[in-house]
Amino acid sequence: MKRALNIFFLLAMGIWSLGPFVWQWLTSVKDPAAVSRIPPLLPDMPIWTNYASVLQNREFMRVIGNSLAVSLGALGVALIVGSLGAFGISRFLNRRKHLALLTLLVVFMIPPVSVVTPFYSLLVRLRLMDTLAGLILIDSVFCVPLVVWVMVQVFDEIPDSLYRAARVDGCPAWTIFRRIYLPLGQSGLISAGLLCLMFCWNEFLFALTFTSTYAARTIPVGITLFSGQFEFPWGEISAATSLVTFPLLLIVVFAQRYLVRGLAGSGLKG
Amino acid sequence: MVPVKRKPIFRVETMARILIRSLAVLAILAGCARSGPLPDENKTVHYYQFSLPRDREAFDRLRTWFHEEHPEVNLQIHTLPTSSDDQHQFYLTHLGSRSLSRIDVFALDVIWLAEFARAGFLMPLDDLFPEREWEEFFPAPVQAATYDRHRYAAPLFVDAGVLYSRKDLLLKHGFAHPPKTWEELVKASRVILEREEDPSLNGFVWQGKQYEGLVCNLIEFLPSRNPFLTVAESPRLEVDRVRRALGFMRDLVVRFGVSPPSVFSMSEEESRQVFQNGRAVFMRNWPYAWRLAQQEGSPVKDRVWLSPLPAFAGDASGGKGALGGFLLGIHPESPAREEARAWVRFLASPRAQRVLWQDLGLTPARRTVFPDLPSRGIPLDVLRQVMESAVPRPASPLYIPISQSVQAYGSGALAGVYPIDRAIRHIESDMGRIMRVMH
Amino acid sequence: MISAKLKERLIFIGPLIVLPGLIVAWPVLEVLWLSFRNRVQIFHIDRWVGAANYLYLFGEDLRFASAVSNTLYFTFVSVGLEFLLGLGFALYLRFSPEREWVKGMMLIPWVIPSVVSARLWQWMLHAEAGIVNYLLQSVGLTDAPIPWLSSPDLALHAAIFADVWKTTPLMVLLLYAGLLGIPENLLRAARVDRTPPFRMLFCILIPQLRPAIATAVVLRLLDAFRVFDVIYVMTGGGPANSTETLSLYAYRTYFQSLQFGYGSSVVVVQVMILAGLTAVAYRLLQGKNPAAAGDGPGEFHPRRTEVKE
Repeated sequence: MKRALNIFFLLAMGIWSLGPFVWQWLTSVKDPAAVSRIPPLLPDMPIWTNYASVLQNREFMRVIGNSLAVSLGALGVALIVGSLGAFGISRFLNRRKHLALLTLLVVFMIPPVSVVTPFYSLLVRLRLMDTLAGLILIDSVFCVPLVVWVMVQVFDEIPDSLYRAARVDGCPAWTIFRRIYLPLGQSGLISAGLLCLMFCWNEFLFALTFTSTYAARTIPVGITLFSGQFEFPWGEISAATSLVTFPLLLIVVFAQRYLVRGLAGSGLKG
Repeated sequence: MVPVKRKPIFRVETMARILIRSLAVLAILAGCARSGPLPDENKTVHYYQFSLPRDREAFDRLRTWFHEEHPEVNLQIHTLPTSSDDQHQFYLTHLGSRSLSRIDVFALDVIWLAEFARAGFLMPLDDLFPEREWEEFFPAPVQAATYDRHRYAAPLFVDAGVLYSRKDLLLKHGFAHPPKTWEELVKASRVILEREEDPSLNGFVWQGKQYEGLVCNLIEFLPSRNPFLTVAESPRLEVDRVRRALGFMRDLVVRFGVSPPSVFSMSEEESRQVFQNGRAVFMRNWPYAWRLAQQEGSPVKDRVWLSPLPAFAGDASGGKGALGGFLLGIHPESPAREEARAWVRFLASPRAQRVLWQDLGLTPARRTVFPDLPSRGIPLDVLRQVMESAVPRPASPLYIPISQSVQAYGSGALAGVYPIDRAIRHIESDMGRIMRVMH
Repeated sequence: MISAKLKERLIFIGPLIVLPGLIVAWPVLEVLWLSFRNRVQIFHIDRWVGAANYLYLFGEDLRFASAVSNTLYFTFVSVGLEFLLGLGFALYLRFSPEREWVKGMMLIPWVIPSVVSARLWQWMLHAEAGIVNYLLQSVGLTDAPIPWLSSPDLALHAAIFADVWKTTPLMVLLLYAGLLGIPENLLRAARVDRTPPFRMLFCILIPQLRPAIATAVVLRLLDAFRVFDVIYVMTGGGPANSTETLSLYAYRTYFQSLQFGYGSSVVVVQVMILAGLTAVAYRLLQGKNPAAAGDGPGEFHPRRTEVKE
């Protein structure tokens, strides 16, 4: 009974998570002329031309690199600025803490459409149009509040006595932050970082507006460039996404134990 | 929870250090990409256009040719996503704060012309060609490039709605040619659906999703060539025409039962999938679908007729496709105006138009190249006839906002959310507000 | 002395003031200011209209009203479903033999860019050529293809479904992490007492999980309320605006209706609704103010004292 239930659960979960993904992969190896035809569900012979054409597309490889660079870059900026800020807010702003956090939350809530135009002017003035640095800057604007928000919760849990004891010993705040707070908060950093990564990885509107060459285009924009004027080449797009997803999948499978352990120790569990 | 010394997962400091270093490297890399010897900016033309699969080879060739003619010009080609909405948003942002942008030449969707011209994003190009040469283009794109009696753009390529029919099914059931009127189309669909008794077969698929394509379809179902929106001092909705067109579109699904309800969510690709899998007798689409339907392995290969769209019985002006395609505009503040003009002239030249057709399948806007055009397997006479009789969408600077409203409420009327008359009232009240705001 | 103290604080707060602070301050103020103006940037129309935008928004704009209700419906249903599914998966992961690959597998939908996952679902839900209808028809659950995306009643649900698929993994991750944080001895005690599973779930696990639930739900709420990609790709807001959400409406008002002033007022109202929702959700779930999120209930938390220097 228990075993059957277990298998049922596994199956349900597998179909739910993997089904669409497998379907996408099948699409990528189907004959392009009959890609939308069902039945048959399975192609007679896998056709790898879609992969060949994606792999030969040097620009797309560049796009993957850009996406990684932008995500990691914004992540780095957000983690550094965010954890510093969270420490400051958690330790120094007593009465104004709520206000600061709410302000940051509002920043995070701004719909991107409304700030596209002012950000555009800003990036042009900073000469950061069509650069990775420009996208990193804009993306981290939305990531920092997230990190602060999570990290303040984590830092608030660290007993005050620890901080004061260190203060009495003459430790400067910077050292306390580095030696005590950061090590204790690393699990929080992981979970906050995860949320940031996801934001940057998916971000489309800024990446579209602030880039005009392959110098800084990211995956969501890169994928739209495969399209014809009306034609949506499913085979190639599926191949491209499969290619993008596989390495990530490996990373996720490998890293999830750290992720979960990190999350489990974070302020997110309260 | 008293913090317990946990075994560190990774050292945060190490991570931070790695991050900072990689950021520094990135910044340096970004800096490098920007430096290098700068070409003379006054001889540089920044050209922006949509991207297409395999456009690289075609444009490399065009660029080489252009350089042979104009060795002094440095040409920078930038490609944008193909979705027209994405491009529109990109241009609004980039051209909106003018002094900042450096876009010299850009490819614009035919429906943006009036809006961009009024906004001052385009310089008049009346003298780009002598009058005789303007006449070498199809009339519809030239008309679409005209706003306030000036020509603001040169045609790059054209597109228009066409009818695809299943030759095999029509012949099998005694129809010798594709339908010439909508009435014939409905009749043929009903006969074939009845006799085939195939539950997965549909009669006629078109595009009824809430998006710009819905307006193109609407135009093609209008009772005559007259527009659904009169563009005078202030735009006015032609209520009777719209009512008839929407009524017929809804009837196709509800009364005649020849179109499946899913046409209300179809854009081009969804309808093509249905047709190409042999699940529809007729399809309204753009010419791009021909190559895909005819490619090796396609279930309907060699079983398709291409023809102009039908008209209503008694409409002497004949069937018409809504005009699509792109135009080439030049920004008035471009420092390289002459160079920009040269590039536009070059892209509109017979030689370049032929390459665009041959390599990318973009239908030439210059009709004079048709006689010696390689056919790429498509019946060129039909294509030319369709482009000759295409109708542009209304050339109003307020077209995009108005079209938004037509899409929304038109879609509501089609899906039966409210009666057509109420949809029309909503559109008119939206237009009232748009005109108040834009005055 | 004071300046040294200030300097010390600036190290921490300073970057925050520059990075989101300075960069966002001006755009945010501009959005607020614009919401009282009629600005059609490209036609050089820019004039003060007072509260007219807001009056029209709340008084006559039916499209706005439907966007609000669509957004709220989308948010509540999708976050609700994600929560239930997420909790189910998380419980399974926690109380079944540990299998790393199961967790990895479960995370897959989450790493597909949302633009692509939306396309994927649009493709699978295609009425005539989609696999979902094909499977339903071959199993015999339905005779005629179901028009998932073209029926005003179904389309929003289809979009919700796609969103749930894509983001449930995050929910699972956060809840699973929360479950791992529940002390083992509590569970062991419950097992010794032979607490029935449902009692165990509602009386032990969920109360213990409350802080994790609060964070996960609020994070998803923030995200779901801004939904754009899924809807934009799958239905374009149609049919008949039945799936148009606030973000899509704002996008269209800005970049297709060209009205930067009116678009700004839509955005201002959107942010205010979202802020209200977040506060309410937090209060309900946590019984606390968002800013005081750190201290959940119970004995597992330190008593916090204010810093006095």
